[in-house]
Amino acid sequence: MPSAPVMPADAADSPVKRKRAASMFKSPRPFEAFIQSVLFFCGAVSILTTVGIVITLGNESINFFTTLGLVDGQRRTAAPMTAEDTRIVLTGGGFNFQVNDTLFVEGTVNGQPANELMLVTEVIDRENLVVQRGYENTQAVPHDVGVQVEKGKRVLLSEFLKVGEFDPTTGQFMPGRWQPQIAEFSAIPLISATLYSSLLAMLIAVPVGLGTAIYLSEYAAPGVRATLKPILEVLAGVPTVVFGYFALNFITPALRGSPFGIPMGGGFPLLDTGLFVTYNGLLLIAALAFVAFWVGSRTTTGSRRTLLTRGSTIAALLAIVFGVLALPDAMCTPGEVGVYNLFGASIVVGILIIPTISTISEDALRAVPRSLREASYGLGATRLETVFRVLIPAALSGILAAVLLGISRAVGETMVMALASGAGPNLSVCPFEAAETIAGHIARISSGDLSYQSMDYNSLFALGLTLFIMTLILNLLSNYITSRFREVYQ
Amino acid sequence: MAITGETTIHLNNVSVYYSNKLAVKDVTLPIRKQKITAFIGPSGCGKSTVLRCLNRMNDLVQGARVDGEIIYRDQNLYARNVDPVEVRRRIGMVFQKPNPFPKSIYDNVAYGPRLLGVTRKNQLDEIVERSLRGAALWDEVAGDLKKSGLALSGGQQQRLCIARSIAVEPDVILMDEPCSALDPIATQRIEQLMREELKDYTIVIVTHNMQQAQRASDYTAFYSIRKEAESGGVERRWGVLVEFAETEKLFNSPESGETADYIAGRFG
Amino acid sequence: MSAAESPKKDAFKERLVQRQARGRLWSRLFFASNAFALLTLILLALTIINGAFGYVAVQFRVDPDTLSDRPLETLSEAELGDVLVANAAGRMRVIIRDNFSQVPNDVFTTTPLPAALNVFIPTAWQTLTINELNEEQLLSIITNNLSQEQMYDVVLNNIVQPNVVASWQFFYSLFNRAAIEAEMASEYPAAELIFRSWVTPRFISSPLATEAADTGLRTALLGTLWVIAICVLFSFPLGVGAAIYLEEYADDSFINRLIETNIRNLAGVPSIIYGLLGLTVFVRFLVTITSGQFVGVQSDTGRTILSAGLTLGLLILPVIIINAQEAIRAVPYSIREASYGLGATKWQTTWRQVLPAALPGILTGFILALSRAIGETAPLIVIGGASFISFDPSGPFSRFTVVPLQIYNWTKVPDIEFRNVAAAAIIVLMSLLLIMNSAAIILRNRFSKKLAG
Repeated sequence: MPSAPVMPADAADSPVKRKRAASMFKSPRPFEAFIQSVLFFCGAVSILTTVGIVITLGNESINFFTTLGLVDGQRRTAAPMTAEDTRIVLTGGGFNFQVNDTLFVEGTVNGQPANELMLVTEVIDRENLVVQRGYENTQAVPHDVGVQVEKGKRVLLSEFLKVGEFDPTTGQFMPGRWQPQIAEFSAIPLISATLYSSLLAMLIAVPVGLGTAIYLSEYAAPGVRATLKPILEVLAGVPTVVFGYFALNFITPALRGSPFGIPMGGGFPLLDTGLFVTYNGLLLIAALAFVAFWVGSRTTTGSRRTLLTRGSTIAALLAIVFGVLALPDAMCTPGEVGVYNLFGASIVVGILIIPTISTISEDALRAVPRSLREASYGLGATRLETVFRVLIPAALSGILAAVLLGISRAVGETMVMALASGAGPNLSVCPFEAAETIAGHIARISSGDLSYQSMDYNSLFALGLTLFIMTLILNLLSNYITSRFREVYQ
Repeated sequence: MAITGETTIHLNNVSVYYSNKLAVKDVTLPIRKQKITAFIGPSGCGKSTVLRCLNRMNDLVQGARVDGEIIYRDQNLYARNVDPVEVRRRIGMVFQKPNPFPKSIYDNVAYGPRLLGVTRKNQLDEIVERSLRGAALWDEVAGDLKKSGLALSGGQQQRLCIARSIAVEPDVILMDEPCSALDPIATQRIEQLMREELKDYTIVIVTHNMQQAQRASDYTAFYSIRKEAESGGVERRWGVLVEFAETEKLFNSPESGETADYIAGRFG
Repeated sequence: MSAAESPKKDAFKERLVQRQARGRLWSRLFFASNAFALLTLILLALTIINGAFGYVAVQFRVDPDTLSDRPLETLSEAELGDVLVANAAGRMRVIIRDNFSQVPNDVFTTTPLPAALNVFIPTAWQTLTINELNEEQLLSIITNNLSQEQMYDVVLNNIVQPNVVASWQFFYSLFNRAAIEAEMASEYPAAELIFRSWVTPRFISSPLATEAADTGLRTALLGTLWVIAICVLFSFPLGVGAAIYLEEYADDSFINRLIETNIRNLAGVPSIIYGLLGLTVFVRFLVTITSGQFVGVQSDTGRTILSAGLTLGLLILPVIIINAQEAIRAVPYSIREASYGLGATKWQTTWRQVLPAALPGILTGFILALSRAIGETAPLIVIGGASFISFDPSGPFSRFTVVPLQIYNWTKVPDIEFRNVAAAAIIVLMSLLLIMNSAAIILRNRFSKKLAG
């Protein structure tokens, strides 16, 4: 085989051949290489974004958990102190100090500020404390009368995630609180409200979203589909702040009994004992009727059986309705639905997630091969039986992914919560009270002018990190399920 | 093999792998200059795969690997320092389905020269006309070169693709079942084109149609499939070159029994 | 048919009837799900309408009907000038100061006119101060330099001084007129009941104000336009570049799979987290850039339009990339093959064939992503969109507010008038989004037609 070291050049007898490179050997294409690196950089920006998020949230969270934050307790020294005194006398309102609290006391030495930390070793009474001077390597210095005494606070992860504790004196359970102004930093009320609202939202979004998806993919004629689909697209395109307005100006007033500001009387949960009894009574009757009809339908045949089955269905539906109506009264103390409440906001979050769930579920249902449907119909199954026994099991992973993504959106939803669910963290089972989710809290706290050194500022990032981790887990899980689901049909 | 004539491309023990799975094994074959070589064989025998090695189109497939040598102008095309882009500027390709760009006829044909940097209007005009004439399309479209290439009939589209590929003046044109999407009349037109207008080009054509191979080609290479059972009931299959000869000889007195069976329609 | 088979058949028939009934019940439930979505959309629209229109009780300091026998807005400049002289002659200096002054208020009356005012001054008055002009001269400055519309505003604000003392929402106004009138009679006997649309051309064109009845949306609209402009400049090239990289260049390596997975996860990160990112990176860390100090702007705050645009850009980047990837993937492979077969390089193929074919799809996806950015509020709250600014943003280094932020701020306020304003702003915002989405749909339809023929 001849293998000459040099390739013979083309004869340059036409414009094309003149322009063509003389040899087939590689020559550098700097422009191509440049473009490729620019494009790679574009792709890498997403990695930088993630790294940015992780570093930002992580770094400030570490600050939150390690730096000594100061909480102004409105307390001042009531008497001057020498550098040796171990007794400190305080005046002023604010909160009480306890054993093991750290005090931050301003002082001066030779005109230079020399602040001192003290550890409370004994509480004599509200005004008189015994302290260990010069705590944490600060210098014990004399202090004047009337100097501000702040609480030095270092939040531990155990406090951040503290559900609550039993008060040894009263034996009562004291739930964890998020109240930065009195230096309590348990994120549990915020986390629980976040999860609670997501649960309520999913109670709306999953059945409606799935029902929509099933209808669009299996029942709707092409023309009907073409009109219904844009409705979902519009719903998906409405900014969340508009949904917040909707929650505050329609859903909540409607729950309070005056939709569109027109009083209709009553209000949805009707939190009073009389109705509570009524609902539970009706629930009991419906449940008994269901059992009676159901047993009856199993023991007879013919048209009576059909009738009894239908009766049991109706009874079951009634039981559900009365159960739902009785539920709020069981969870709440009697009273009105709050102007700001978790329930209304969560319903709206549920509504705004419907398109997310229905679109992804519909895609999953449509991806089920035709042959499976035909096989089911061929065996004499009705459309409903095909949906429940063939299509939903086949598309289950896609539907699951959609639901997970929906939860993730509900967890992170900010504007509706910030506008309609109220301010102030609240650990309560009653959804008709105001409560604050993580995202809502971040929005509320950061809308004021925050000092970058304050504990509030750092706490935002610790909360943000919590939120990020929650949604990340949901998203990763959803992506994992989706990628497995893809493999099934390829 | 009693084959004479000048060789443009020589394949030497070429094996192709996709993601480390053997697709074609040990093909050794000369492509004769200014002749038409047909690749035939049952589907899955790797004839298109071999064709796509000749201008390194397989490079675009993730995980494709080629062993052995493909010698063109005394140079192994798969040598490290050879630029596939330059190879394709010399060895053109026409695809199974006509794939004109969604642009005007003129822009379709001028695309290749423009890539090379030919920008002068009169030069481009001349190239476009020469190429369209070369693909026997000029008379049908001369009046309306601004028309979209997609507006032509299937046969015209395929001839446009041929015009497009000869506009860069390649030595070799590879045709991957160029007539499989066309009707018999359009097919005949392309075959005639290969015989007449394109007679100065070296052409390699993959075809499913044995009559076409018989009618249109000077040489024919017959490929077939080899199988081997693997553990777990999985079967490994790869393509091999069974026989290469002058077309007349291969169809009339094949050396291999397998070839004879295939052209008699007993399998494939 | 034998007698033994008959009961079995009956049982089957009976079950079939049941099965079909169950099917009908569920199909109605499935349909109801769709109806629910439609219903919420209708209720949403009604709620907004409910807020944006309705009766207001307006109290005037001077009843406009007593000023002229024709409606004020139809009067000419000269006639409005007469009204001014007749009713507020003493306020004319203040009016001039508020509209044309270019010096501090304390020296305004002692500064010669050409220096004090930013308008043309006749040569005869060059040395005079404002206090040395007579009524007629003062009026001429006003009428010469204000349009009829501005004159009308001046008369309204200085003489009529309307004040919205109560407001009722649309459906209440519609159905409870009697109750409203009773309330008017007892609470605001001097006020006049007017049916008001809170969305007006004036609402769109005037700047933000602290009073619900006076406020406009211009400041926020301009803020939105500025922020979106920055967002487009930043995110379009980056997003399309990343999509090209992932679809055309990236091989199946670890880093590329990481980028791909990462983008999918970023798309699910709550927007408020992007706010925290923007606050740390753009507002604080890159403050010299985002405040404009690096080009000599005298400012030390990074809470600017630039920060907002970049934050929103990062936020929608994953969506843009995913949409653009889909559009690029939709370009038939045969086109790429044809191009490579002619000896095109990767970039030549991408630039000359793939991108032109994918462009309508890319643009459609981009517009949809952009409309998400326009409606986004949470991250901008975190990076500190100002709740009240009255001056229009003038560049990337201005402080800003945007329309959704204003909706948020106004909705938060308990006063019902601000709910009205919020509803009006929602209508403006939704119209903007509607226009953008229609553009996207038109593009998409054109694209599918082009592919078909």
